[in-house]
Amino acid sequence: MNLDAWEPPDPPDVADAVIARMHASTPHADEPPSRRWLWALLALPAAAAAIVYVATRGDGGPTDGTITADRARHVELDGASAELEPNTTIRWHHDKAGLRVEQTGTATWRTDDNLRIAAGATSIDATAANLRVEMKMNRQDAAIVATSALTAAAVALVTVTVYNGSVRANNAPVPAGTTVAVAPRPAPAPTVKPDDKHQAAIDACNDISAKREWDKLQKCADELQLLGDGDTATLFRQRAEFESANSKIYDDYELAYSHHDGGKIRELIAKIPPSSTYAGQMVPLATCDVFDLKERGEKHLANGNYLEAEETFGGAYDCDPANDVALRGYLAACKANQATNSKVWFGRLTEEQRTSAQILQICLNMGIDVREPVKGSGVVKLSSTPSGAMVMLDGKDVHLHTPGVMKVPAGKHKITLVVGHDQYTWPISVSDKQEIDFSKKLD
Amino acid sequence: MAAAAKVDDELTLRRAQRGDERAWRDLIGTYTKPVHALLWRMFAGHARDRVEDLTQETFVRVLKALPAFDPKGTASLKTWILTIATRLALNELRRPPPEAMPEHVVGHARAPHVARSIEQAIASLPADQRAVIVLREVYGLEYDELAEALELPLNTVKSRLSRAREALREKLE
Repeated sequence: MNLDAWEPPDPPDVADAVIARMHASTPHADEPPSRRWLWALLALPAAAAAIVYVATRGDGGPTDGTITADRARHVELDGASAELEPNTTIRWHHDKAGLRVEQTGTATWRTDDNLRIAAGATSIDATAANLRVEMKMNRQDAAIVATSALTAAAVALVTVTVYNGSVRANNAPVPAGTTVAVAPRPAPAPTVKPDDKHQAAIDACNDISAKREWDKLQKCADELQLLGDGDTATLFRQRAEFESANSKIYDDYELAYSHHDGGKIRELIAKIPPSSTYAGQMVPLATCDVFDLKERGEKHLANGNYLEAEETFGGAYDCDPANDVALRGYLAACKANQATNSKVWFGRLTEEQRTSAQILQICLNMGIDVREPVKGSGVVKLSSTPSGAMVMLDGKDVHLHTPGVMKVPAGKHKITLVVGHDQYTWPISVSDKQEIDFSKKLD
Repeated sequence: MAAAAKVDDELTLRRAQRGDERAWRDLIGTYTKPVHALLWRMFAGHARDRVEDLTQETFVRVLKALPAFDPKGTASLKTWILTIATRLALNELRRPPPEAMPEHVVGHARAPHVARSIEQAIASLPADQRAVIVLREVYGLEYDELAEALELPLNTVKSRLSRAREALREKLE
């Protein structure tokens, strides 16, 4: 069916209005950017001087200045933006070549133009890139060498993670998707090349972290420690401890999800820290208005639209598998003369209801004996990445691992794939003689 | 499409999830056209003065729910956004019809008479059928994506789509 000729007009620009509405619900955030700096100044704690901001401003916003963040904060500069972590200081100015920044601490940068970051003795050049620059003090070296902030910076370990774009650290290219540790350069020592073994150990830890193997990450951090990089080892160790605790919340979430326990799911989502890698994976159950669906189903029933009623109660049952919905779904399916669906609904009734002659009679009046098993079956071809996942059908072990094929009686089922301690569940609807490719990525 | 690539970039999405305004703008810029077009099509035969408001409302809901969006989940970002827009449109269309007269504008059609026929045929469909046919035929959503977007069993999606196609075909012949 070709609907190409039916083209809508050009859309309006809604970005400003949407963002204004978003800001309207956030205190202070509805101020224009220039006034947000004022809030930053007003928020200065008198004693600690947590945020120090000195800037000259042209028409396009601040052109140079200094910020020390006492807490995680977002900074917009002309041509770049940064997420500063607590206790990070940046000093910036513009010259003909672009934006120049001196950084201590940790910041994630996004730049559309040219950006040069001086982090201790490390110089990082970025063009149209997203990157993270971490500067951690090697306290042992600092204690020996440093007597001033300048020399302390010279012995800091700088780690650069490039998400995309063109980035060079001390003039060596850093490809997108990699993290490199730039070895400290104790003044006045010559440039030290990054140690291959050290970098390989960091890469290995990053890989393990990406796979969420937190026990292994602890061990990897121990190996980094042995290589003398205690600071990075500490970072990985902290991450392993942090995410190990979060993985337990995630396990509970998976369990709650398989039970369709919306309340528990919401509680666990509220509990997971936003910075956890699990946070993005935890979503609430699909929101649906079960009352509305039931009401519409009732109307269809009253009007004799039994097919529509059965569909609508099906939607309501997916939202909330309550007995009253099951009973109405059964009634509608019988009246619609839907033999297979009637049997599926019958299976959802309580034991007491299933033995009620009155309830059986509803379908018998249409010539359907719901006590007969559902006729027919389909075939489900299972595969997963990684393979080898244990397969469960409706919560029962079917003694099969992916990839594999299983015959499934027609009707609605739940397939669970189990990998290690993780289990993933999906609903599936199988018709007679149907072949279903069930391929899932498990991560 | 450069803008889409920008938003599909994982970091930009993560920034948007954290509330980065520039990333929000990238996202809105990328998806305004498909969202507006979807709503405009869903409102075939109805007064379209609500379409711009609903486009805004869609993005407000998207941005509020964005922190919980899982880019590795079953729905792509685009499908997820279109789902939100569709549900908004269906809710709106289920309300009692306003007194305002339908517009006669049928868009920037390459063939205005064909566009008018499609507009009239789509307008004659119930809102539920309109949603399923627009999402399938214009946006190419798969059956399972339609089932998720419309919160319907797969078989219902198929039967509803079949009925909608049949009805459209009859009216367009």
